[in-house]
Amino acid sequence: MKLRNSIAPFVPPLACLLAGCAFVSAKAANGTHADLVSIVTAELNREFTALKSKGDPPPYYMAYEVTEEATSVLGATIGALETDSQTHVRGFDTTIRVGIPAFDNYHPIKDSRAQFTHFTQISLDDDSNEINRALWAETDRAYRSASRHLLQIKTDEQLLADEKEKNADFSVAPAVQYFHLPEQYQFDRAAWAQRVRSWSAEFKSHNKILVSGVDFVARRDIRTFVNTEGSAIQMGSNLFRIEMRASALAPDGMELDDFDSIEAATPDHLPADSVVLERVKALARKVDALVSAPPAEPIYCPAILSGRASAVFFHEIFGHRVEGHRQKEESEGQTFTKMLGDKVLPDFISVDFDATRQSYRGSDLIGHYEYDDEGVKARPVKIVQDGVLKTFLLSRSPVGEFKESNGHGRRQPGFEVVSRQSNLIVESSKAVSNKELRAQLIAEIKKQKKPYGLYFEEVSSGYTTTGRRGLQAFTVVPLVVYRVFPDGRPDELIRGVDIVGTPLASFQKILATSDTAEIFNGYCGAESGSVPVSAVSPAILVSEIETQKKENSQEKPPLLPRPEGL
Amino acid sequence: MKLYSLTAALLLGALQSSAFAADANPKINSDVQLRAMLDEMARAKTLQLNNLDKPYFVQYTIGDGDEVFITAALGGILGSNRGRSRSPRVDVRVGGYQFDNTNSIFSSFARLGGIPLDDDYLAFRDALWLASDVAYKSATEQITRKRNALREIAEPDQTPDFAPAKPVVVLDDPPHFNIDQHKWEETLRRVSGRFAASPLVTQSFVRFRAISSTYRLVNTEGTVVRIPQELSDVAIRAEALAPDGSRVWDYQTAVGLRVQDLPAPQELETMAASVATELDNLVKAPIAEDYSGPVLFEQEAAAQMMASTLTDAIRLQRKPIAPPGSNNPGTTLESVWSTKMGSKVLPEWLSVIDDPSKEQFHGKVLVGAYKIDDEGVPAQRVVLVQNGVLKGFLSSREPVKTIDASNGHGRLPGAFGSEEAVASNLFVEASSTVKEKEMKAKLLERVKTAGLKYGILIRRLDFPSTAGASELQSMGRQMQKGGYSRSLNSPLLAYRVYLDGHEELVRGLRFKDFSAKDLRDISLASDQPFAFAYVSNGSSFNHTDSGSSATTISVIAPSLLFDSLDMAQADSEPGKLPAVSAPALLAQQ
Repeated sequence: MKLRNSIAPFVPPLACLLAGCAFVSAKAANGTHADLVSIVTAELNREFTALKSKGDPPPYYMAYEVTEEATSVLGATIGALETDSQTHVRGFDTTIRVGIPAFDNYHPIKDSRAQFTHFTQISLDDDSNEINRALWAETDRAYRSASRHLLQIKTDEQLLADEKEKNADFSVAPAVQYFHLPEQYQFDRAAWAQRVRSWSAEFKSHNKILVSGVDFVARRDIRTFVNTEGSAIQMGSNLFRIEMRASALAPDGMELDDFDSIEAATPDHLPADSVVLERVKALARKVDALVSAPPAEPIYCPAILSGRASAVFFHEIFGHRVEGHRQKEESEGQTFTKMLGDKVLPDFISVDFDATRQSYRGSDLIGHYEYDDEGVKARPVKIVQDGVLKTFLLSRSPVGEFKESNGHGRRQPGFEVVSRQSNLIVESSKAVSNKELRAQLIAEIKKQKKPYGLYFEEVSSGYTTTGRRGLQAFTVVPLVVYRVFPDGRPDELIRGVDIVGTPLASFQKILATSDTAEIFNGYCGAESGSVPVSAVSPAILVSEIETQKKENSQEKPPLLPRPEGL
Repeated sequence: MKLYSLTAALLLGALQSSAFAADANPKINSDVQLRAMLDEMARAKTLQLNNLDKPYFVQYTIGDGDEVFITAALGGILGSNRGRSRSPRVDVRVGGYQFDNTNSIFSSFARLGGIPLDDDYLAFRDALWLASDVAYKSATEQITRKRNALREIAEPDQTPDFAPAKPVVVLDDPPHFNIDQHKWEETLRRVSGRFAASPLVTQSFVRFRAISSTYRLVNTEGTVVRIPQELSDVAIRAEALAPDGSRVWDYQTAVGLRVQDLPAPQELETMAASVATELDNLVKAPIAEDYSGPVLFEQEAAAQMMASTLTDAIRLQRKPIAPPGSNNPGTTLESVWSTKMGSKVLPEWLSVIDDPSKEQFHGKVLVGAYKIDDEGVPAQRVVLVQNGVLKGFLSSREPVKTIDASNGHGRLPGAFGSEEAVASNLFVEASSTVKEKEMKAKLLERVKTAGLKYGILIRRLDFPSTAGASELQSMGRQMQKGGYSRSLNSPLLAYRVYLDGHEELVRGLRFKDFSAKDLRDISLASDQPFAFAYVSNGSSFNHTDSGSSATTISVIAPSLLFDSLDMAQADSEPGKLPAVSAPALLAQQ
């Protein structure tokens, strides 16, 4: 599983100066594509009725999820536009369950995770001929695949030793009706092109930065979900994102990069141009500093992870291990499966997953949604209370004593739904000020007689293996790390640090947290594709962290000097 | 005025005194892209790492494209996109013309991710600077690995690696791209909506594409080129299920250079209607049986047959150097004519000429026309076969066997650092013909002589191919079982012609072993040539979904009759029909 991209630090809810000029709300589009809902519902019912009477085996549940996505990207590098694209796509996913809820075609057998859906593009016009024909052809394909698979796994199951725990494959969920389309904004492409040009031009004066850019992305998506239980949902969201990136080569060939991004659910949540420019400047300065920073040495020492860094830490080493399907699939490590009611984190830490939360202290959370991809209403879920594991993230696939979904069945279009994270929120009852946390770090360094401790300011992504075959280890990729000395010397920026370690052990090493939470917005990739997630956490002090040296490309910097004028 | 570092300034001086004076040409001066390319190229030539090989040749090319792409089905728009893109390529060759870093399995072109859409001189220089650095470093690594491989080869190929070319300066104006996207969306809705009247059609689409591009090339030999490269096409495809569960499909395409070359909306609707009718007939048609006997390729089918068969025959393939015992992939099939220079390969009354200079044929646009190829070499007319005797091959700047110079046909990126030679306007000319309308009678004469009940007449081939996955797998199986590696794209429209002259459409007919060697057996040509335009990805099968680069070709050929060809019933395994019947179609306005 991989989490990429980062960081939406505090964006002040400014009465945004640019909003008025750049964005015009096209219309209060809170109506529906009524035509689409009725076209899709009619075909779903027709197919279900016919397959129930003619299909062998017959389906007991079907659903269609139509996803429409309109994306605009304007990107520039050193003052020149390099991307100018607009895409608009509509397609659908098909779910067909044959058999019975206790054992259907989604039943996990050995290592096989079946894939039945295939994202199929359909007309952007609400045209019933095209949409119906596409639904029909694709349903036929998915039904054949589902029924074939069920017959296969029924046989396979008889050849296997009895499963320790008999989990059903599908739980009941109430039928819902919900219609709310996201606002439709129009924006001045030329004005935004000019903005990204001027922001990206800032990198011109940083000669050591080899590749850089600033992108503006505006995306609006609409999801239309109908199932044979009578649910019909139409909803969506807007995302406005400014991404800044810069990379350089250290004299020894080490690749160094850093980036920053700003996310907003509405254009008036975007910061003023001058704020973005400051962020670009700060990024450029940071990469410059990294080039001249000394390389890291492997060490075992106490450390502070900033709020954003620890947000990734929790997402990777904790969040992925409480995803429900990992507790029932044979190939999984099942770290927490038998630990319900046990202490899995220090008793001053609690962890919530709350998809209903739209923002945190003024910053938009991109892990927010109203209903998940199985039509189940989102709700706050307390996973860990005072260090004790209470439940798992659940889709409609039941896990042990948990027979109902808690609204975490998610996917990227084209993938099958599994349980995924939403907005992870870490809370602490042992919170101290940042200053006090630092004092505790220095005391810990002295106590352990270490030459220095580490401060992880920014990390870009994480990677974790939860499978049985892989080592139960995790790595997050720190971008900006400082050495903190016990003797009062100023902190020293270093480059090329990687964190290594085993998850369970590292949870026990949290000594305290700060009292200020930070946000990490990113895209998490796993079995069901890439989904937007957020993680909110205060900074944490850990008694020990193990670091290794980052791989070095040993690439030689460019042979010729940069062309004159830059 | 710009300032250069000392070495760069000296080099630029040398460049100016060569074939042309870059800065003296006002057209170059006013073109920011060319100026940035020339200035950075002058520096790139000075690249050198320690005492490793220096570049002897540097070339930059940029395709600067504006593209509209619309897809529709059953009256609804699936996607309608307009976008600009610039695709740069940076070639740095180290060593010399005789021996360089290309033509080994370690060779590849360095591809640069992107280059700005703004004509920003500094941003261009910057992108080219980084790309040249990467390309140079990779070239030195490639030549070292190639040298190491050669140490193990007893008698290595001594053919030079690159053919010098005379520098040219051609500066055409960039094309105007004037297109009404909304109007085309409306047209596609209407054209694709035509299939709403055909309940048997299970899947259909209409696709429109228009690309207007300006191609820029500069190299250290002194060539500077700015030429338009354009492509427009409409493709219509429909698929249906035959009563036995096998899939049948039909496909028609119209290809032009500019949008104005394409048929009017009304004609496109007629095209869609004819695809629908043909498909209805195919669904009802009986399954073909194995056949051995005379086959008439009529008009479009004859040109398609020649297009597919000649693709590999008229160019020579070079085998890349590889360490002994390694898996040497070699990309394309070797030409069956590779050893036939000066020998008879066709009947003596047939000639084949490739002529990129012809822009029209009987009022129809020839889409293979161009002035300069993708390597900056002026396009040349090439006589490939004269009175049945093989006279030459198409060539790029990659020398192969006896070919030591380009004849201006490098039109698609090849493998291992080379450019692939591709046809332009391919004329199949017959000096002895019979009247077009007598061809069917000639077919029947031969059917009678052979004592057969019917002959086979082909009106359209699946070329370019739009065969589905199961069809492709089944064709592969059939070729493997039959033990042959070359065949011809299957017929879409094949008819049995009975002795009384009546025709019966059949489905599921395939060719067996078939290659350019079989062309010697052509027994008659008609007096009416057909100009067939298509988009090529460089392969003989030419599947529309494969290949990342494409170019336009016209093949002009008359109807052609073979006395005897072997054909077989398709070896396919039809699936069961869907359990649920198709949804009813609503009439479109």
